[in-house]
Amino acid sequence: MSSNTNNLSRRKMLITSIFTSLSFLSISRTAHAKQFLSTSQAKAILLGKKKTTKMNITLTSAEAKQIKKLSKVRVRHKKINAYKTSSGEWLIFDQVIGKHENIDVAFALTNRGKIKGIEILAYRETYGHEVRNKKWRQQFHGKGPEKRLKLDREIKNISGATLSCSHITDAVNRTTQMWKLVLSKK
Amino acid sequence: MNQSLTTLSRCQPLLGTYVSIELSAEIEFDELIRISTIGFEAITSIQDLMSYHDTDSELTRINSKAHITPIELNPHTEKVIDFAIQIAKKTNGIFDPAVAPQLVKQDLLPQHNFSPAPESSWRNIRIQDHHISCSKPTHIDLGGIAKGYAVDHAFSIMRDEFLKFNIKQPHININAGGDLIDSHWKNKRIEIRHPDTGIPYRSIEMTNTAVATSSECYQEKNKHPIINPINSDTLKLNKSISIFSHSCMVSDALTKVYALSPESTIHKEYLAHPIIITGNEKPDEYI
Repeated sequence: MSSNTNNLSRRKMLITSIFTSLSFLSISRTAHAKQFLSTSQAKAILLGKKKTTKMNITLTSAEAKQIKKLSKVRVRHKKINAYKTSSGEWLIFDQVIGKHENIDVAFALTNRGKIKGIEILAYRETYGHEVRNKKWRQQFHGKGPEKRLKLDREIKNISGATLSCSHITDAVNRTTQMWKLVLSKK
Repeated sequence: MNQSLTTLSRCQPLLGTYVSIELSAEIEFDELIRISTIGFEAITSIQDLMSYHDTDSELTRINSKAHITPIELNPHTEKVIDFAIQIAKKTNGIFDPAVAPQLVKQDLLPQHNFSPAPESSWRNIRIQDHHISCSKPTHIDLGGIAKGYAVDHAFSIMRDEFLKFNIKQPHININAGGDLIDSHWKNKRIEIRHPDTGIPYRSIEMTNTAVATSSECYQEKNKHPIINPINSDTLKLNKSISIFSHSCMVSDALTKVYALSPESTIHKEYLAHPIIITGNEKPDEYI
């Protein structure tokens, strides 16, 4: 309870300080972004030259609920962007929404459902208020990397504190539970 | 045949954060992929040795057994612990790698089933003949300096890979959040985040190849990772401290020293350059 209260007051403080800073700066800003690999580059790195088949997978509400129960992580998208090799390996493209980051990520799974590799494809910084704004997030869906870079200011050599990647760990748990429950049967 | 300049940017979740590697050289794109993979593997190997969180790491073995029997050290672990003790000696304990119990109390590090070590410090650690022993139970956390070392190690290994192609000046940039190294740092600027909001705030010209920054901009309220080893108090860091030097490991260690002892002159010994940002300065106009 006290942790939630702390988080809430921290968020309020963060938002207040952001708006104070922004009004002080008198500048409207867009998100900072960095594009790393394209989906085809990620596919080549994670699966080599193996042929893949695009899999049309849409989770049922019951499956999404069960995955959430097992992984303790919310399923944001029921439609899964997945590819499978003939030897049973999987490549999943997902989006991870963290406290300060909004990330496109690719997970490769072995034919036994173990994580084989993870590549971050695109990274966008957020400042608390943006990440919870659905409209703000939607501007990135279905957009190619060129569009994103045009929208955003590219991140270059920023030094700050260490940002935890715990939301990727959550997404890993969600993905492996999804493999157990759904993908392993396809 | 002339090869044109190729560039690759990759990012993976490692060292508990997001680590990006950017490479640029006159070389085949597939070679850039191969070399960057070697870089990520180098970072992973250091993480596997020196993670406090990982119950199978060499550091965990040291923390659980070095007070009972000497433990043989991997050369990388030896280098990092040796460096930590060197800084601890030079700062008379202002920097101490044995403050893990205070970080565990704040849930910043996991609770392992080690015997308690409330009064232990760097003075109880001894390295001899590539073995480490502790005169009493001592919980070492190499934290930031291991992260800095991992970045330095990956940088050096990838530079050696390029040398095999007779490429002497490839562009290598590794950014692991607080630790950044750039081979082509001259006339380049970096952006430092605001110590409270985390928003890029000041643009500063790089004065050396490596920089580390400590601030609490991403910390949860009431959690403070910098501990004063002298009295075990937590330090509420209300500024950001960046140190430029020849290595991320050196820079990272010195940020902790300057957080606790702003009057320190240790940077002169390492030809390092500290930059302190309080967040009250006039922000740079580019923001």
